[in-house]
Amino acid sequence: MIRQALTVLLMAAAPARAAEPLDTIVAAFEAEARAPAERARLFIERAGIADLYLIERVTPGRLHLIVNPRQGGAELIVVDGQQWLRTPGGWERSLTTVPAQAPSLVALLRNGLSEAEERPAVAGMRVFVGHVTWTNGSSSDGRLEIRLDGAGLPRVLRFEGTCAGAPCRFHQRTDYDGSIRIGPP
Amino acid sequence: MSRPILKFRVALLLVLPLLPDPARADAVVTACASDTQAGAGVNLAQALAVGGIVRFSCPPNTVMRITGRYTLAGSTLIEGGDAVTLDGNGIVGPMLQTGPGNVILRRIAVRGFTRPPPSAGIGRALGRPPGTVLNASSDAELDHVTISGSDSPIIVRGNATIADAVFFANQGFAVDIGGIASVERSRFTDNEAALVIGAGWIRSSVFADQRGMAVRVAAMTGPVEIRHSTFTGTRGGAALSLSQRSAPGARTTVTVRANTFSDNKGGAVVLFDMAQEARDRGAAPSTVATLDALPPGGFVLAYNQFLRNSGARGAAIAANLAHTAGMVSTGDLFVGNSAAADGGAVAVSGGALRIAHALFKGNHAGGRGAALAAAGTSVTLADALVVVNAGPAGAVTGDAVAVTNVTIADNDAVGLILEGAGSSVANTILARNRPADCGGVLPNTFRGANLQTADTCPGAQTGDALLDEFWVPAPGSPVLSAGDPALCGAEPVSGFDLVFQARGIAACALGAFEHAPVRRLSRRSDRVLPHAAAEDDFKDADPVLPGPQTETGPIGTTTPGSNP
Repeated sequence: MIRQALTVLLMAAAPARAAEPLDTIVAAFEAEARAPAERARLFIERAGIADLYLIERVTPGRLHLIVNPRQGGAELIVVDGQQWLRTPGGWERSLTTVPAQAPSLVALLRNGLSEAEERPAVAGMRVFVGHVTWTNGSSSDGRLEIRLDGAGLPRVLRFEGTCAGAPCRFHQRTDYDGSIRIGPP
Repeated sequence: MSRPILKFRVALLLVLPLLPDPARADAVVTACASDTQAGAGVNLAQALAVGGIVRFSCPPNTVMRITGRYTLAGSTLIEGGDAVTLDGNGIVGPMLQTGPGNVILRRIAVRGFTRPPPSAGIGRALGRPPGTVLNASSDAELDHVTISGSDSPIIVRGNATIADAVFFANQGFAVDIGGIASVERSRFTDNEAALVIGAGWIRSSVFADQRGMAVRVAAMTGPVEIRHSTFTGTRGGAALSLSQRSAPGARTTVTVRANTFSDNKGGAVVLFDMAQEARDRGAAPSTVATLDALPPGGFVLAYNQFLRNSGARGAAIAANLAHTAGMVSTGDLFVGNSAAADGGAVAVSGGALRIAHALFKGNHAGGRGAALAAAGTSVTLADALVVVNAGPAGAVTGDAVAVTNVTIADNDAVGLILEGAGSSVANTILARNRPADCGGVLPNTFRGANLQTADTCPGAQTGDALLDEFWVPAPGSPVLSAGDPALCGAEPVSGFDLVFQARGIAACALGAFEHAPVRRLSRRSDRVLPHAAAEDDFKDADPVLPGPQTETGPIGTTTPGSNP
């Protein structure tokens, strides 16, 4: 607001400069957070244990999550503060404790991403790599690769390193499909 | 983002690069003893005349004597660097008056500005007196500032953003915001009154020990949200005073969520009627009529804690809802509040009140309704626990109260006194209230299944609900499957109990609890959770949708009950 207006005053005479890789990455995840709908496939392997998450999100307040679908894992739907969890006895409804909007990666990347650099494009996507460290109950540290599409949105995320001292990796593929619909089961 | 702010931003960003502004430059104050200090260096008066960004090159803990009043020609940022206190030493303000531009005060302390004494023989001054530290005609921002020892120091007629600020020992309202308020992480202590707003939000702030009231929300011009804040120790008025009415054409909602109100001596939340206030001060009938015609405000309270507040009536909530669009309370806790007259926790009259998922425990009234007193209010009370309250005339009283899935137990008061034909009680437990579970309840008030201890509630079954020390029905209690499932599933119970556990569909319980609360996430299970295999990883070129069917259809297809 006012602060931003005065920032414009301060920047008026400053020469233009190319965006730093970190700036580009942060902007991409800010754009992701603003996207009205998102679908992701996330594979995580920690200490030899693997899980696959299929996630759909529609802002505001709607989430559909399936864990390990091939193995009959859990399924969760969140709609406007209520959640449905699929159990052997059927869908179980309760008030949700799950935030329908995932915590933004922006702060994590701003604080934890270092040595960010852009690599040659792959399949029409800009490629950025860097070293990332974060703490969320335990410490994680490793190499992060991010691929952005032509609209500057994150499409592929790869991490390889250690989580709580154990080898871990994750691989995420994301689409932004405005036709996603999420409703109660 | 509100339309006025968006328009302002767009206009500013479009126009500013095109306009030369030779008058604006930045200044660094190097003369630190007073604002008009002569000699070498730049003093504050000179810096403010230049405008733009004003910084200080002064030693830490500098106290600069202020002797003048300044009108800012354009937008100004005053950056104190946490090193400077501007001390008016009792001079008459305003220290800063803004023109058409905006102002930012950052990391600076200001104290000691007063209001001019009322002029004898002239009569009541017209209009609102200016803020003595900052009187802003348009927008203002206060960031990490400390304002103290001044009369009504901050008045902002535009929008105001206040963050990480401290206001203490001021007279009048410390801050008065006419536009949209954004107040967060700020502390107001020992002011005569803290803050008055008409729109915007207050978050994560502390209001402690105000000598009068804390926050007043007057004639709402837009939505108001107050959350995650603490109101404690207010001495001479209510912690939170809310106007019943919105501004003309507004019809807005005030949301009060996840706050703590504790130990306030003049009540926690009070609704006031601007028209009645005008009548009381002898305003002209036309003024009263204009105020009477203002549209009603709506009030939503959720997950607040009201602890040990005291007041004349309704120590937690005292509200005449007659000129409102109603009040809804969800998940509020009322513990240990005490009223000299009616409504140990809540006293309402007129309008409509809906309370659900509430705890009323250990409240006390000198009159009716040790927990809740309603007079002429349509009250819906559901999924509530009303226990261990004390008073001479009922724990819950009213003339149009609909009680559903409530447990009223162990009160040192008659459990329910419902004197109107418009009341109803269903799926409810009354147990061990002394001297009686019910008083003055008309026949046909109790409908369907209800349970009482002794035979004072006409139409309710008599028996032992087998409530444990937490008022949860023990296993084997007759109430666990005695409820009407249609009522359990419909509004206002809506399929959940007091602590949001799902109610049974084919059969449900009487009272507040469907069953003993369990920690859902730590429930023991013999089921082994399956994990994926390495081959479940995928290539970057693979589509996001992998293909397995689920009960709801594969992720990515339209599902029933789609987004509205």
